Amino acid sequence: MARIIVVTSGKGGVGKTTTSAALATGLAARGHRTAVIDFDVGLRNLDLVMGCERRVVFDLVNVIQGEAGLRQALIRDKRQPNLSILAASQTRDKDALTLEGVGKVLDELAESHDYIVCDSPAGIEKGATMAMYFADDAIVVTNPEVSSVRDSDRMIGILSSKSRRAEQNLEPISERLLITRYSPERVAKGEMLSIEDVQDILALDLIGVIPESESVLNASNAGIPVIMDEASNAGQAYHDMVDRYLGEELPHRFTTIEKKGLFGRLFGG
Amino acid sequence: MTPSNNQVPVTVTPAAFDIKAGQYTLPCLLIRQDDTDALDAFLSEQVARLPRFFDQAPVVIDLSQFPSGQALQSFPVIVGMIRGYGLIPVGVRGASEELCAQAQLLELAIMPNVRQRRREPAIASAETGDARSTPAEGNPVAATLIVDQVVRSGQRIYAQGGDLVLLSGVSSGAEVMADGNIHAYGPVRGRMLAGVRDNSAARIFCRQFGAELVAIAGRYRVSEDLPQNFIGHAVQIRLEQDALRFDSL
Repeated sequence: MARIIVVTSGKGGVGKTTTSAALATGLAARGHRTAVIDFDVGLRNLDLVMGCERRVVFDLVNVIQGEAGLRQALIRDKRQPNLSILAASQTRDKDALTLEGVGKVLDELAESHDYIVCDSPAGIEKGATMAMYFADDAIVVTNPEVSSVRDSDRMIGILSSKSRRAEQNLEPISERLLITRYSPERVAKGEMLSIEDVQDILALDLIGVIPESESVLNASNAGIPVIMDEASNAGQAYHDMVDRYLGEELPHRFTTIEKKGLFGRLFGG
Repeated sequence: MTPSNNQVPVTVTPAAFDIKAGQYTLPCLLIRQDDTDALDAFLSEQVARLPRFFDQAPVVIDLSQFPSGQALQSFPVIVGMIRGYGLIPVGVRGASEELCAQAQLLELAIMPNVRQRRREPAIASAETGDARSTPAEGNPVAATLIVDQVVRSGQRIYAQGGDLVLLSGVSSGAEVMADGNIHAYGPVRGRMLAGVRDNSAARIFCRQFGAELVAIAGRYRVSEDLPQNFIGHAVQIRLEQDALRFDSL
């Protein structure tokens, strides 16, 4: 039985698609059969970040409406043999999604995959609620900034009340917090909320802290998930996140200001 | 809408009338016996005890516990008596067919039979025998609502008919309300409204204060107008002469 993970946030632009791509790639790289689905109907981005935008023939809505089979719509990732991508429709909108249809797609995927990552759109409307309804685990992506934190709080409330597990009184969704775009320098200056501040407000276990990094934009432009950039701090932090998701306990890196050594100070940079 | 070269601003007039759903909790006066004298004494005592609560209050006459088959001869008198005490009978529930017919003649609505939730305190019931005795069931134990999870932004909690105990925090953008007192043991960053049904005796006890808005019996203050020295500390809030009063706990 596959484990369904939703990557959600409430606020837009905090790093859900980047995280979904990284998580799915990381799980596949560790040998698990993984599928990642874009639920942002009409504003799809996952295909760009995964680098498969020129291979999209059929999408999630086509499958739900019976216009194509799941096998035809799933795109095999070129870098990870264990990874498949199901793109969102760009021409339709979220009204084309139905709970029954989404449920059927997930059931079919569950037969041949170990993990299904659902990339949620921003907001708390239909696309977001569809993405999280069937979830077993949730990663709530938050920037260390007041509006993102409040929106995440709203989303956490919705996860605990509007999901299938909540409605059927099953064990609740396992929610974990992911802080993205973290800058310890700005935290030290008092310009940014600290990890403790965010956890104080949201009261969730932390699955990772991803530092602010230029490599994220570069990865997005290149269509290669940032987790594959082993040299970047963000990529490494995402690897830590995947390991923690799979049960390992690791300290959170890139959360303190790096002290420059003598040479660093002499030569700048 | 067809595009036109002359951009005319379109104004939309809202419809003059609309029908929307409203939800109200109404006190129900249970009648078990056809005894107008007893009812008179009973109502007089209740109204004296809580004058503001009963003044012009809409009330439903609950006849579900009136023995079926028995005629309630003094029904019109009872309705008149209730009105005389300042209450406004709006309907009946649990009434037999004959009583429903009478109710309709008196222009009272026939309310749907709703299963009484355990938490709703029955306001009172007319007792047999000594009209002067204070019925023990007249003061029901108000149920306390205990919430041990964080109240998230956008969520609303309402402790109907009693107190509210919050063991975890209340996030900014969340709303917690109680007919009685509110006891908050976690950090509060949202709104707290106590004594929402005009219960000015209600109080708020908060261990880690930081609320966006506090209100007791409708008198409120937003966080900007709150004394700053209480932020982050334990505070007791109550109404004194119609104004909110803050004391350290």
